Formats: sequence, C-alpha cells, structure tokens
Amino acid sequence: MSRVRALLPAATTLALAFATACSPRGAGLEIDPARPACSIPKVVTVRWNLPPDQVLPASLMVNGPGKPMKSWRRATTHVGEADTGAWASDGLTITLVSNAGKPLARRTLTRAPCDDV
Amino acid sequence: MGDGNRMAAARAPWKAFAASALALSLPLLFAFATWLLDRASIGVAADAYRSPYTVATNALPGLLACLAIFIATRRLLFSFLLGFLAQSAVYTASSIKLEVLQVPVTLEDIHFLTGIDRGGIAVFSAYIDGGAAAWAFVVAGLGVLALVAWFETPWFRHAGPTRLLLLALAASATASLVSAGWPWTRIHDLDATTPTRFTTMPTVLHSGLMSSLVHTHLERKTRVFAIDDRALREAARRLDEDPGAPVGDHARPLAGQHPDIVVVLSESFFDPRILKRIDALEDPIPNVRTWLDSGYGGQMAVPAYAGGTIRTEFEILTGMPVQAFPGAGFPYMDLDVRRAPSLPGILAREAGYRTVAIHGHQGSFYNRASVYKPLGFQKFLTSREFRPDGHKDGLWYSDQSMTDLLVGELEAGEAPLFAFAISMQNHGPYNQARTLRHPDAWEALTLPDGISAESAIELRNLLYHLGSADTQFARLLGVLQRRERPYMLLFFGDHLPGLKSTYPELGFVDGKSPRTQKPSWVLIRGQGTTTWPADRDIGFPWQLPAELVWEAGIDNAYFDFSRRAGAALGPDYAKKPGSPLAKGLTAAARANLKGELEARLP
Repeated sequence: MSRVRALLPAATTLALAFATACSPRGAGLEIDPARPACSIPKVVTVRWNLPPDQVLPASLMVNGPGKPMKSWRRATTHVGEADTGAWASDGLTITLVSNAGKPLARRTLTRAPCDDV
Repeated sequence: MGDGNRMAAARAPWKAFAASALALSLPLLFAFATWLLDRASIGVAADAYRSPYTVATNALPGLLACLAIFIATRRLLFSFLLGFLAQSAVYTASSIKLEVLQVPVTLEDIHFLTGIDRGGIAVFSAYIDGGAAAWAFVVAGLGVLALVAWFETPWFRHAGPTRLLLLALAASATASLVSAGWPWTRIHDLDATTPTRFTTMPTVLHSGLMSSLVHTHLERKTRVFAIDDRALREAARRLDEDPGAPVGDHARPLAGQHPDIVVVLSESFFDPRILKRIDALEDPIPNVRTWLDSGYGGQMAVPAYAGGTIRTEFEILTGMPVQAFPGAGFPYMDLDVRRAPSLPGILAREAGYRTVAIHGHQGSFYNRASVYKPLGFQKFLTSREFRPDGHKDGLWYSDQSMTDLLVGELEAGEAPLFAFAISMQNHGPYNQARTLRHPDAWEALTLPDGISAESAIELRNLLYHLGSADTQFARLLGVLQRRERPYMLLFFGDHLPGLKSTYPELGFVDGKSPRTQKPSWVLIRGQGTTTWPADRDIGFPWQLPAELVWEAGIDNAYFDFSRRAGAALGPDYAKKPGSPLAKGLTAAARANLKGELEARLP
C-alpha cells in the first residue's frame, strides 16, 4: 500500500468529523453584542431560530466554562429573543436544546482583548 | 519490499505532491480537531476565542509530540494518530477532573504520569465510568494504530538528512520549551484576566488547555518566591509591640511532659449537618460532635476541595500556608521542603519523639515516600503494612485497620510518639455501591425524603464512611485515655468530598458554595480522662502544628511567629493578603522554607 493511499481514508475521516462537529443542525442562536469590547455588558440579548419542524418548547441552557449546564428558560416560539439577567460575563455559554434533549446550537459570550479598546 | 524500493516507488511527481499536501494537512487537521476537543472539554462553543493564533498555539505542544513520534517511527499518519489519541486522553482526563474537582488538568498532574504506580492507577480508574466501554475504545484504538503502523511505509531513511534535520528541530523546540526560552515566551504572552463569575479559568477559555499548561510552565520557570524582609521585620515588630493581640497565652498543662501526639487527617471528613435537611437525621458523627460542642474544636478553611489532600497535609506538617507559595499546586513536588523545619522533624530532633506516618495506600502517591524522611518521619507504614492484617471497607483500607496500626505504634515503645495517620476509607468516588464490611448499617441509614437516586447513593456512602471515621476517633481516644500518659489528639478533615449530585440538590445551610465550606477539627489535650478544651481561634490548618508545638512546650522561631500571627490575623490572612501581618507571615513562610527565618528575624 502506498503512503498516499494509506493517508487518504484517515484524512477524509478526520475532515468529515471536523465538518460534522461544526454543523449547526439548522438551528440558529446568537448573542448580542456578539463580541463586545474589553468590558462586557452585564445584560446581553439572546436570539434563537428553530427550524419549523422542531417541536416546541425547546430549552435554553446556560453554563460557564467547565461548569455543568443549567436550565435558563424555555423557547416557546420558533423565533424569539430574551435578555439575560445582570449576570452575563466572559465565557457565558448558551445552548439551544431541542424538545427531545438534543443540543442544536451553542454560543459563548467572548470579548475583544482589552488593549484593543 | 525494502525501504529503498518503497521510497523509490513513492518518488513519482504526483505522489510526491499528494504526499506533501497530506503532510501539510495533517498538522492542520490535528490543530483544528484539538481545538474542538478543547472547547468540548469545557463546554463552550467551538468558535469561542477561535482564531488561527489560538488554534495554532494550543496545538503546538501536541504537534511537538507528534514530531517526536514521527522521528522515532518514521511513519507520519501513525504519529498523528498516536499523538491525537494521547491528546484526547488528556482532554478526557480534564473533563473528568472538571466534573469531579471543578478544575481542569493542571501542570501538577504531570507528576501523576511520571510517578504513576498501582496506587495512582487504582485511584484514577475508580473515577472512570463505563470501564468496559472505555477499555474497548482503548483496545480498538490500539488495534487501529497497530494496523496503520504495519501498513504505512517509512517516510525517510534510518539515518538520512531528513531525520537528522527533524531531530534537530524537535530537540531545539523541546529544549527551549523546557528552559522557558524563545519562541515559547513570545508565543505564550497570554492575556491574563481576572476571574469573573463565569470564568474561573480565563487562560483556558481564552487560549485553550494546552496553551494554559505551557503558560503555567513558563511562569513557573521564571518564578521566585521572594522574601520581603521589610514586611517580615514589620510584622515581627507589630507582634512584639501589641500585647492586646490574642497571642495564645493560655495555660499549657502538657508543656514539657512529652505527651504522645497523634494527628489524624481524616479523608473528606466534615460535619454533614452543614448540608440542609441532614440535621433531622440520626447524627452520623456523634463522638466528634460531642467534643466540638464542648469547645474542643471548630471549622477551618482548607486549601483543597474534593481532592488535593496533600495541600492541607503540607500545612499541617510544616505550618506554612500554601497561599504563601502561589502556583505550587502540589507542595511536595513543587517545593524543596528539605531545609524547612517541620512538625515531625522538630519533635524528633528537639524532643526525642518517635515519629511515624501511616497511610493505607501506596507510599509513592503524592510523592510522600520521598519527602517524609526529610520532613522527619522515621517510619512510614503504607498499604504494604496494611496488607497482612488490614481489611478494606468499600474500595479502600478501613479506618479500623488504620487505627489498629496506630494503636500498635503507641504501644511499641517507651519514648513519646508523634503519629500522623492519613485515612483512606472515605476516599471517593461515592457514586456506586461497594462491597462493605457492614452492609446492614449502610442499608439502615436514613436519608432525606425524596432525594434523587444519584444523591441517595452518594449520601449513603458518605454517611457510612463518616460514621466509621467517627467510631474510630472515639476508639483511638479511648486507647489514649487508658494509657494514662499525657497526650494530644488532633483529628480533622482535609477537604469536603466532591459530591456532584448531593450538593446541588440539598444545598448548604449557609447558602454558600461547596468550595467555601469548612471541614471540622478537634484538638483534645489530656491525661487519662482529664481533658482541657482547645479554646483557640483556628481558621486555617497551618495554625494547628504551631499550637501542638506550643502545647508541648517546644520553642521554634517559625511556629512561634505563625502562632502569634495567626491569632492576630484571624481570617484576614486569606481575606487581606496585602495587610502588613499577612505579608509578614508570607515572608516568614518563604524564609522558613529555605531554613533562613531565624537569620532574617530582627
């Protein structure tokens, strides 16, 4: 077996795995502001967009880096938005979870480096 | 086909082009896949802080490992697969550690890899759920690796210029990393930020776990524990000039009487009634509570949670706060303790004590076997000594077996004894039913109504083992009292256990987080059944050895300083580390580590 033939299947598998991991599964989630400057506002807006075939309600979960997810609120419409409380901070992660418990999309609040301000 | 023929066959231009493209794409795939692992391991979005710079720098340590494997094996795909498997293992370990201890893999954990033994494997494998599936995955991975190694042809000759060039590259990159040199110091000039509510590990979030490890390494290579002589002198002056400070000037009924001193570090021991809904249950620690309620102890803030026994232990044996040595996660491994006066060393050298440490596990775990002798222990009884007559209760050797050995040591000689016992029975994990010595007692434990199955098993295991520790505490005290010799018994918990389900479900009485909760300590000074309460304002473990030395009537410059500073500071050592006394205590601890305190005191 040549070196090239040995490498191709593995490289293809890794590429597919990478592409699959990046797939948003058709659901949309965003945090506004998307990437605030050095100082992050305490309250941010979360917008979600569920495909029409998704059963309602879905769930919005929150967690910090390395922390378990906790339920934040239910998404009772396919398209909607909600403000967080005054607890948003660097690393706050929102996960949109389907009615069946499947993660559909995830966003993390990040900030620009402080010396860019 | 020999190596030469294979390489000749691969010289066709299109093959060379394709091989080059793949050789370039593999590092890219490795870097992006590592980034995905990284983000998944801390539960944030894949695009959080993703940039070419962060992805590349986070992959560099792994790529260096792949390069080393490539040079050794001459097989590129095999090298990247093996490197990625190793990388995946690190991230898996980090996820488990986050779940159990709420901290990711840190640089200190490398000590467990370099010093891994049966004890370490036993402890870590106990935390891996789904053992059969995990082993099947490992076996399958090794099978794939073996196949790739078999089929992939070598990329260069054994001693050709390519191999020598790559070897030079890998060696110089490794040398500069180990010595904290360029380019690593330039690459990892990380944006250090203040932890916020959601960001307890900003470097990991902003740059990735592997970058964080490199960053920590670079910091430590240039770290110096500077001794602030001015702060030391100022603190000494304040302590001398402030007679109003509570300097622990109490009666010392045992001073000069060479009492036996027994210190029991009880694994994960704490008063479960700091949890809500536990006070209505039968008390699992009635013996310890009797002494706590009678003024013989209290609660103290420890530098560990769910693990890290060694940090509390270090404070108990040396009297030095780990807070004085930032970044020294595992003090026995990160600090040179050979010159520091320690509790067993002082008692053996200056008062003729027999000194023994007892721990029902591998002596090499946490590097104890290497440091106990320099610390002053004459004897270290480990699982080897437990094996002939000891028994396990659950996964680990029982508190009863540990107490058996303690009693044996008490009765083994005429000279006063200093014994330090580290229990093991109540070590986690708590999430499974185990083979117990007293299953009926385990079954009979009452639990709060309506709690989940996960919390029920955690809590039942915890209460069972706490009860055993409490029983053995009472048994040991009885033995000491019957000997009619003066004694001091110090019994304390090293940290709270990591109960993943119980804490969130029950919550704590004070409404605060698990990490802020304080384990109990009890200090009984006595002779026969006559005892004296320990009316001490103890806030931290490092204060306790100073009290023992003081009570025994032994003078030591550092313990005298730390006892008086601790009494004057109270909780301010942690809350106000910049205060003059706190800075002085930090300076004293650093000077003591070097054995230079007395020379630096005014």
